[in-house]
Amino acid sequence: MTPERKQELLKKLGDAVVNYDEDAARDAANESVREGMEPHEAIFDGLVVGMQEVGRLYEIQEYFVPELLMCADALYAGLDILRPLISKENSKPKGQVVMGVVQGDVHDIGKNIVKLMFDAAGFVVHDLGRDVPLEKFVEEQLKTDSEIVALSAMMTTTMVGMKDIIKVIKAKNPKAKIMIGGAPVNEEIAERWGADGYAKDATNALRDAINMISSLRGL
Amino acid sequence: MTGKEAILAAVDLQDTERVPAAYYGGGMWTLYQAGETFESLARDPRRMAGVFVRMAEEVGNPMVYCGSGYNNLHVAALGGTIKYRKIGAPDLEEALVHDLAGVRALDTGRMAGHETIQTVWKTTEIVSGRIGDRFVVTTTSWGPFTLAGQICGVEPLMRGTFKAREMVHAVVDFAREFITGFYEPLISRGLIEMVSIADPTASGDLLSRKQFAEFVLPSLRQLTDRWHQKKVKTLLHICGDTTDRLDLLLETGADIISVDHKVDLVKAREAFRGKRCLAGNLDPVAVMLQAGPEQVAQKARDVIQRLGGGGGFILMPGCDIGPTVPRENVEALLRTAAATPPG
Repeated sequence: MTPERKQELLKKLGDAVVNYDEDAARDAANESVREGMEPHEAIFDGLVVGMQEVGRLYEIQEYFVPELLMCADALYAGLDILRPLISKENSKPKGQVVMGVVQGDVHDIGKNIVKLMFDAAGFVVHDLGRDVPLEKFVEEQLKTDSEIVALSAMMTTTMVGMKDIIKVIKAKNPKAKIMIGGAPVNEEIAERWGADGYAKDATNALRDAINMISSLRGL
Repeated sequence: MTGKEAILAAVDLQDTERVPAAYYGGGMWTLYQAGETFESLARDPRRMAGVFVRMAEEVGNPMVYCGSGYNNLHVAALGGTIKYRKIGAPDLEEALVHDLAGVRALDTGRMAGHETIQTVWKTTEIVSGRIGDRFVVTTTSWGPFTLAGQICGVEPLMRGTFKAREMVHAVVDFAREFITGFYEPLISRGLIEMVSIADPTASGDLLSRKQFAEFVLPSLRQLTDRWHQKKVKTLLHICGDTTDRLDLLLETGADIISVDHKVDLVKAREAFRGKRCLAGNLDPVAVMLQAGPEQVAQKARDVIQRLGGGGGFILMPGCDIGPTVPRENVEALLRTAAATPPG
């Protein structure tokens, strides 16, 4: 494959995600496979680059939640074709994240968006869902030895539960990094409660997670 | 001038000596402060009314939001399962319908027989009878888009704005009719002079301006038009940053528009001045929950002196206040407004 053709295909993959076009994502993924592109490359230099652009468009308020969900559908249309073809040496995950919406809170749309950003970027995500009891986060972190625990809350009533989760996880495993997010949460709360990071949206969450993993691995 | 008169003067865009102030919603806060739980009051309108009246009088909030915190229970009248919490508002466990056929099979007729709805109606009647002459008595509900999200799930609703537009329009229309039916007995009996609607799923952080115009605005407008015909005013709160759609908020026809703390209040004041009453927008977490009373007072003074003059403004937190917001902070907000001349 010529470098020009490769660039053309990668752009097609990325554009399909940005333009939330599932059919185009499937077509571009199939084309890249047919023409011998490494599936790993098609995912990370094509689809994921598209999703990063989607994150940027969300940050500048050009895209909103419906657009993000539509882009995610296009992303998964491509991933479904490419992921099964990734070779073993390329399938090493970037890291592991335990994720969930804290107990008492059923608002999971934000968490789901963060999840897909992590998933697409090559993390293994242990999604506990919504209304998750404190002990479940602790258990899952210990069981999976995940580097990161990401907690979400959308209500002032439920965000206070994060404080206890952070305390218990830190006591059991001081190395685990904890990030929190959700509408009522802010930087000051994260600091006061001992979280390692506060993410105001999915793109920032992913960026912080990558930094946290890098620092854990001494990279 | 009573607190009620000051609020109504602000709605009529009249200039007053002091800027009226009130918290928004506050059901969770009221019950928590009173040491009550949602479940214990859900079947007891006398006790629920007693709590709302006592807290309104003790704290001096000029608006009473009957049923605040119980909005999720409206969907129980359509068959939804509700989960009560130790603290905070009860939640709906799962969405009710998954397709257009499901939406079409929904029936607003089941509402009147639902126990909690009857409790909220009766509570409003009692509160209105006891303090309606001195306090603005309202009853709360979700707006059509948020109620629609509960009926069919927020993610399917959001995706549906692209992939299933017919279903989204159908479920929003149904929600609008449900809300109309919910308020009808209260309005026809003259128990409330103001409706209080919150539409958090229509947040400026979740939906684009274009989607807001297509899926949110028309139903809100139809509701406020209907209520205006019955001489009832509307207080509308939309969450998130809506600075890019202040003109659309005006188009909803709501009489008081309560904006989130993320909204640029200066821009909102400019856009609404002489046209509509603006309410806002102290940060409900960073200020109302996390700061002390002195900082609340300082923030309140700052907003009043910069933007309070000229009428048509109510000082409010930028959203509902959480249950654990210190009472001193709420009192500081109300006291500061009463003591500070607008600039």
